[in-house]
Amino acid sequence: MSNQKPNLRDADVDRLGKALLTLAGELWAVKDRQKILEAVLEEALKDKGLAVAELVDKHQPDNELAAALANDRQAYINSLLKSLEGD
Amino acid sequence: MQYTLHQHGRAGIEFLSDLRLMSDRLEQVADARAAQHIPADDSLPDDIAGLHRTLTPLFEDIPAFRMLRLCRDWTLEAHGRVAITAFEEIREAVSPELDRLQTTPRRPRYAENPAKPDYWDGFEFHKSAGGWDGHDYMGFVHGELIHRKMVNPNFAGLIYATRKSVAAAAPVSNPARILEIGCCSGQYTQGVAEIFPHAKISACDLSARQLEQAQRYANEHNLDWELFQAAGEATGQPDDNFDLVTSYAMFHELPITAAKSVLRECLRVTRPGGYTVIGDVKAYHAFSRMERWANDYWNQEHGGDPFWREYASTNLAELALDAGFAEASWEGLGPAQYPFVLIARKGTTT
Ligand SMILES: C[S@@+](CC[C@H](N)C(=O)[O-])C[C@H]1O[C@@H](n2cnc3c(N)ncnc32)[C@H](O)[C@@H]1O
Repeated sequence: MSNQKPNLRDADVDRLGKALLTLAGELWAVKDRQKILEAVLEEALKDKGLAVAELVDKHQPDNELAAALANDRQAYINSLLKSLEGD
Repeated sequence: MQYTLHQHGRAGIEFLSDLRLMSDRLEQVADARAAQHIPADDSLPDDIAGLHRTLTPLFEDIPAFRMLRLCRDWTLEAHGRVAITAFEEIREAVSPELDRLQTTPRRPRYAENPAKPDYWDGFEFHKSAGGWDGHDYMGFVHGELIHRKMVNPNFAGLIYATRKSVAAAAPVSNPARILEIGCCSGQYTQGVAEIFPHAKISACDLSARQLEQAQRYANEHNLDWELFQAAGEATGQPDDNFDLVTSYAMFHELPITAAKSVLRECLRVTRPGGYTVIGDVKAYHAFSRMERWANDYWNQEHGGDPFWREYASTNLAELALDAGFAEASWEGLGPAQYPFVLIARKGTTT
């Protein structure tokens, strides 16, 4: 809403900036890994002519993978919240 | 209907849903921090303005609370965008089936000149991007991607159980005809159909896109619902036509003037001796003062719900009696007193 007081005060902004950089770093590692992974797979599956990016788009995690992802995602959000929480 | 989100859309939805739930921890941190400064509940002011004067600055001074608000503002503002992005990634794959299901075998009846009251038209309730009709597949985006995929996991299925409990509270047995007002994508309609499997169900909404999603559900499950586009203020149905007229989670989106007109219309189409049953969020008087402040702060002030306070501080039973019902009660269900349910009986002679 436009007339609300800002969420952040001066003291918050530093912490937020740091959290953002942590996040950017993590995200970049993932983007980097994803490209590498696609290249590795493309190379390994060359003879089969598989479109790796499309396979990834459409892949449905099975229960085990979904649980592992949920675990990682929640640990990730937790560390994000920790850095926002301050002391 | 079977569909598979792409990796990017799926991950975006899961991230948002988990962040929304997990950031509640910040609320506990803030509450613990605030506890020592908050006076005993009965010495807090009784009015909303007074509560805001006392409690808002106290909480907004706590860093964890400000971060909580940041997280909630972000999830509220981003959820529509994230869901629409996820939809666009699968549009080509799902739209033929969505189009088939919204027309076969039945299709909703569209109004020629649909009413678009100011309080409804283009308003982004809960800050959902574009409002109820804001996208050509907004029914699927809202009913399926937002409700089922983002919201429901955080409540472990409870949002459907809550709806059913409202239908179950209706004091009617074997109703032949039921009208639901504000059916949206049909989530409460499902509950009504489960409680009253033999009734003929008619349901209306202002939003064509949401009705299409309700129609898809009905067609897919062989349910013979009559879905039509109309305002709750003017349903176009005959007088005295329904054993039960019902609605869930619509009244808190109406200004009180509109709520009064809708109740008059409910009375008109309910048969003599029949019932109108309206479920919605908890009334302010049923909260402690501290909880009332929190409820108002997060819904009225920061939740994108402009009529929440008006609804929650009006006695719906009195409105129903004013409208002409013979008897009316408005009470919370169960120990949590949630949701609140108006049960209003139409007299047998008028
Ligand atoms: C929160 S949704 C309702 C939810 C639905 N009953 C459920 O159980 O999820 C509110 C719905 O009320 C509809 N609505 C709002 N004002 C209305 C009016 N005056 N007449 C008919 N429908 C209305 C909106 O288009 C929206 O679909």
